[in-house]
Amino acid sequence: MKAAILVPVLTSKDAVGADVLAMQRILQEIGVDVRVFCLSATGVECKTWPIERMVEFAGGPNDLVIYHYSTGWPAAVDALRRCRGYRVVRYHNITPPIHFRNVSADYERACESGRREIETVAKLGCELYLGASAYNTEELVQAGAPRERGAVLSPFHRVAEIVDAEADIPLLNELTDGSRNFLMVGRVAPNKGHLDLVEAFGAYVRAYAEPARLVIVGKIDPRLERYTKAIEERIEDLDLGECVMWINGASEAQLKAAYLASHAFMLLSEHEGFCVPLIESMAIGTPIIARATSAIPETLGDVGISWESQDPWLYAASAARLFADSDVRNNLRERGRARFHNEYSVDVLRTRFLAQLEGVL
Amino acid sequence: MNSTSPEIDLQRVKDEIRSEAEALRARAPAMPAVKPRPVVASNRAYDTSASEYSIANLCQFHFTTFVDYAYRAVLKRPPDAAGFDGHLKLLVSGGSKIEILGNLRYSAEGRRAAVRVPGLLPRYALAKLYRVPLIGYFAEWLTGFASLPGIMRHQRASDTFHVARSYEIDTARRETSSQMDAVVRDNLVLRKEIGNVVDRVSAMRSGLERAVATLAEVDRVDIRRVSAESAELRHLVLSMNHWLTTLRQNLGALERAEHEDARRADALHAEIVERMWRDDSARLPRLATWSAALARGLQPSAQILDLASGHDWLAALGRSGLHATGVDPSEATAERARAAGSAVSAAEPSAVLARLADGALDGLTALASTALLQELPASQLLATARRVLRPGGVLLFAFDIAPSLIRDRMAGRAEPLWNDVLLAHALAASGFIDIETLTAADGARCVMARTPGSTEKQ
Repeated sequence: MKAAILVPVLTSKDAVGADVLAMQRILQEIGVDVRVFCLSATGVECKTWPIERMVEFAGGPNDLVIYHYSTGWPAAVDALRRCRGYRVVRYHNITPPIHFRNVSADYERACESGRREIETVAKLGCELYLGASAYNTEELVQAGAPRERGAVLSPFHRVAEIVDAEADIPLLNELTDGSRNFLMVGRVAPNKGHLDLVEAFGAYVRAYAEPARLVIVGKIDPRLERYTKAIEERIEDLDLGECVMWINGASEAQLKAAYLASHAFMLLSEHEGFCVPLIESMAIGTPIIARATSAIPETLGDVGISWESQDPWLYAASAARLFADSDVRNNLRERGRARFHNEYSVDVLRTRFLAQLEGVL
Repeated sequence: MNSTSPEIDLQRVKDEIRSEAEALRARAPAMPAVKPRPVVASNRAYDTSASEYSIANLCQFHFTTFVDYAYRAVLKRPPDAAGFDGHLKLLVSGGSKIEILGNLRYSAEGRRAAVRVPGLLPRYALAKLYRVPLIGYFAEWLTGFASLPGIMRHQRASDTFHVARSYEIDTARRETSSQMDAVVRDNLVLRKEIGNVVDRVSAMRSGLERAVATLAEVDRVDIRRVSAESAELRHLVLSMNHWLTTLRQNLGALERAEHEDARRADALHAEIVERMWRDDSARLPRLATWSAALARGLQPSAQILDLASGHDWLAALGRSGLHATGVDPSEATAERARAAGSAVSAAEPSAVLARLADGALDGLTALASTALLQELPASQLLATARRVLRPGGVLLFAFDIAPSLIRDRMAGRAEPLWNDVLLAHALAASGFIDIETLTAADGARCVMARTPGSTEKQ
């Protein structure tokens, strides 16, 4: 049996790349001949092939094709149509274009074209629609995918590498100066809710006379400069310039230090298909305060404090409660660690992945 | 969950947080209002997927952006190079946007795309009419005349816009100019600092070169000094060697002279003893008495060792039927004994006794016991005698003259005060039995004893 994994862009560091590489490794471990087909690959050691050669390799009736769908890719849809084996659509979700309106026309168009493909993909009649969350799977079902062929598998991740990494000592020293650290991890993009986050942090600073710091960890995209500028302006408007630390493109050591030294992980994203930083927080033991939108409630479960509202005072009061109440803090930490172990550890995900493919392997 | 912290009711905690948030909202200082920011032109929609556009929407952009947008909106594709250039030229030559939109919309491709642009057709027809010779001129003149108030308003607005833009550009230019001035000043400062750095680097290089030259000179001086010291040291070693060789030769000469002195003294002492023995007329009967007594206690085949008693004693033993070998510390005495036919070696008696195995002898004699005691303490001598004699072996000790005693007397050293009584007691105390004092005719005494273990005579 042969297996093809389709992904438009393969990089070793992002969430989709981690999922692809883990699936490739697991299939290879059980003796399947696996190849990754993509438009471009960066930072990965494995050889990749162009999509045009996919059907020739794994288009037969006994083959397996897994399409990682996170942006529009008509060539992959066309290739899936021509395959006669077991076809899996692995859906990582596509950010609704409205989040990029007035920020980046390029992103808006790309998301638009990607989401326009959802219906096409959903109606391809693939054998399995595997969402990274139930929220993702439901989107495919609503777009026409048969419900009985829908399933959920949380994405494979690189949390263990962060947990095992040695924390960056200079950053750790800088962050452990007595200030309350609020942490946000995620690329600087409009759906991540940085503006609301700054509002919530500003509310805390105004309401409580305690030193506090907002640590924003994430890659800054020059194409989203308008959004980055808007965040900076909001910080300036609220007079928080001295209290905000940006870490653009953090290393694993810096990420570990940031999680360890932070008193709360605060997420006000408006749209997430899964949100890997939530499980990183669970694994390292940083208490979570989050906005209950999209897939966030599902990923978070009952291991953090979440609100449907974006009222900044609610988040400020939540942080204050976490800082003051060690019972709540410790209980949420323990729940987080247990949830990570039971739901998101790589061993659990591996077993579930192979169970999903049991009929074809 | 296997929890080590108290279980919490999350819903209750959230209710409490909600109350706290309400209280915060009431008591915390109000959040500052968000400052208004200038709206950037590119915020305007660039929507190319719609099927209907207003003329105002299509004309909102200018120059290249207008042409690009018009193609994408009306033909649903990006402009090709030839079309793009042609329409830009039309704009540059004073053509209207309406004409370009009409050209696109009512081309064969545009009709296929069928995008709706309400009001475009009459305006496009009018624009085309302007192209008709003569009639077009008058038509455009009339239209222009009729719309003169509008054109004048547009002109005034345009003037205001351009003045505002000019003002903005002027302000930006002044800001740029002042920034450039600052950059030029910084550049001058930077150049000056670079000059200083170059000077410092140059000075450091000179210093380094001087240091290298100094080190080289130091190296040369050191090598010369070490070379001179090495030659001097070599001379000293050779001198020392010469001195040691001379010293060794002198010491050898001294040793040889001393050895010669000792040899002469030894010969002298041997000669004195010989003379004294010859002058002692009672010696031979005395030796005969003692040897006969010894022969009564030993078999003829008995192994007997004599310690420096003189060759006449060995001869007396022979005459009594016993055979003995002797050792004597005096080389001259041993030579005289060998010349007289006795088996005597030149050796130190104490060293010979130490090398003998346990029970190796049947008899042990020493007529000049006092001389032995000069080399070996009495306790050690008696213990060694016990050891080398087999059980039942016989010991005979006397206090006669021997060369070593002569040597001591000639050196002025006192003769130890030993006699037969003291020796007998010493032998008894050392475990010997059958202790017997034999008195010769001249009154001289020797003491004979036996080791325990056998009462049978040899």
